[in-house]
Amino acid sequence: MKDMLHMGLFLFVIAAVAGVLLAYTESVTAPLILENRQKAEELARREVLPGADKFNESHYADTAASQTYSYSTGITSKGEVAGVVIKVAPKGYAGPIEMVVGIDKTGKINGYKILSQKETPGLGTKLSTPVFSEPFKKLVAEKATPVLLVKKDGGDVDGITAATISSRAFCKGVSEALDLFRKVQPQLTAAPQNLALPAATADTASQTSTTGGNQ
Amino acid sequence: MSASIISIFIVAIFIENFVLNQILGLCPFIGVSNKIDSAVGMGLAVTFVMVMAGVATWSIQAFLLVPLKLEYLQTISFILVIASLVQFVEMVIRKTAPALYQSLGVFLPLITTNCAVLGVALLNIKKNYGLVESAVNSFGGGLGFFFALIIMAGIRERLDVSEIPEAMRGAPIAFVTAGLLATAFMGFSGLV
Amino acid sequence: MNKLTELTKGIWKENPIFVISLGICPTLAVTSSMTNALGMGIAATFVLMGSNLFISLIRNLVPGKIRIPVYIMIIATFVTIIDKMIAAFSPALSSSLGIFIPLIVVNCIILGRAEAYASKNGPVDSLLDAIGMGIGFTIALSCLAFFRELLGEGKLYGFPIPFFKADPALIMIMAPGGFVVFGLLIALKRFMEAKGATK
Repeated sequence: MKDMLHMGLFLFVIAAVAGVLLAYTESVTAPLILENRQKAEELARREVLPGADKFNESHYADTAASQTYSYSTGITSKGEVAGVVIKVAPKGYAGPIEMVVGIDKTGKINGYKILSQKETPGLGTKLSTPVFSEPFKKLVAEKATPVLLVKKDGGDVDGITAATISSRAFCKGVSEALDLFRKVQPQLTAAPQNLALPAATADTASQTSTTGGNQ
Repeated sequence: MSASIISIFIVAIFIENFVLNQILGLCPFIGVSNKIDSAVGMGLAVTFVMVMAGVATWSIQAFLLVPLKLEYLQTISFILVIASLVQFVEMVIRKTAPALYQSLGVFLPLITTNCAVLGVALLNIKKNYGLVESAVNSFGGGLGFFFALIIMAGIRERLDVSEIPEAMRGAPIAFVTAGLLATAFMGFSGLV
Repeated sequence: MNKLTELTKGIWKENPIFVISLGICPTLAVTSSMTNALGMGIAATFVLMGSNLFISLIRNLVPGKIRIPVYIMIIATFVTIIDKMIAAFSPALSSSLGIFIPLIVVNCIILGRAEAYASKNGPVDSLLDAIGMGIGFTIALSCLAFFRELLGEGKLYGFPIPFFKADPALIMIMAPGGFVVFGLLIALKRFMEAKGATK
């Protein structure tokens, strides 16, 4: 009996010390971790939409499909809408390819950045290297409305050799982002000043701290 | 919905096979793959514990850690839950099914430090799975482990009677074999 | 001299990975690059130092029956601290190591050293043992990563290496490469030791 009490007490003391230590670590590191995550997201957004000075989280409620999409609206230093950054996660060869696509206010693709992926190293992963990104950049710069399919499927995009599935997934992701952009475009130009405000009217543009994608 | 459950199951068994793709749970994979009999026992025990642990840790995360904002206690609570779960399962099996205990008993304590178990618990949370998805993913993960272990045991029984250079005997040849198996399993990616 | 052997035994003679074959679980998966291997090695070394020192300090107080749960709790605490530190100060490393940091908890080396060494020896010796084992662990990981990154990507620590850069064998940085390189390295170490013994 005394033995049990001793053991129980000992476990309790150890657990308490561990709890206190961890709570302290958490209190020190949590703000830093949050800051890191925000910084990384901000950096990705800036990279795909260089024209914007700051970003607001916005939502678009698709009443027909009863789904809510979220995206970030980029605002220039003059307070005008520069474009939007949309996060998509098309299904690649070995899992979802998470990426952000930057689209300026005229609907032109400004850039993309792969956030996470599980594609075959050296093949599908080329999506995030210049081998793939340079020709793609050139394509969107030269053609106003490129057909977002790999050349094999009759489109304009130079797919990666031996990684057709990854390339197709990429095209699907970008098209998805463009589709969403077309839906939100009216609310961008209609009320740009609302977007800059922290709490705008109802559904059109409300600023929240959502981080989720739009699957 | 059901399609995604099936795809989680298939992915867990073949594509993201814990041993051959994620390289987790190697200690028992190399340690207990000498004989098919013990491999079957270990594989069953691990599958069983993985499903229990997947469900238990998911519940703890969803009903305790998140509401109380104690996510930083995740690692410590998960490992303690797994350790007590293993103890509990061992006790229950010993009381209710002595025959099963005879064949599984020795493997049970080893499972606590099988990183595939803690791995599946952490991955369920990381992938934002719900309860059913977690259970299915854990079950698939366990089955994948089971298959890999049995295939390996079958090969190693043959290896025992082959002539192998002195330095390669035992673990080294087992790892090279596992490498070839893993190459074969890579063929499954793109399946779903 | 004696203290020095405490430190050095873990590096070659009792190298935790190659000889005792311990702690292979979380090691193989992260050896696809030198940077990851170094990060994992350092993280594990810190956990090992913390747990060995702490367990050695309380070794005479712990009731024998519950020592394993107590050790696991102590180890899990240090692992969480390291995990949070890495996430806070090196987010890039944190995202590339992912769940493999919390998985240090079940790394057999840590619990193995706690049970086999720290529970029987004083704090100074235990700390030296931890540093030695940690360095051995890091070197073994780096060895694996050296071959995998060089052959699989033609790089070391992310820097391209001229000759190897041309046409790397991608399979080396995927799972099969890890298994094969590890198997061959254990065989090589055994071969060298057998050769030394016959001389």
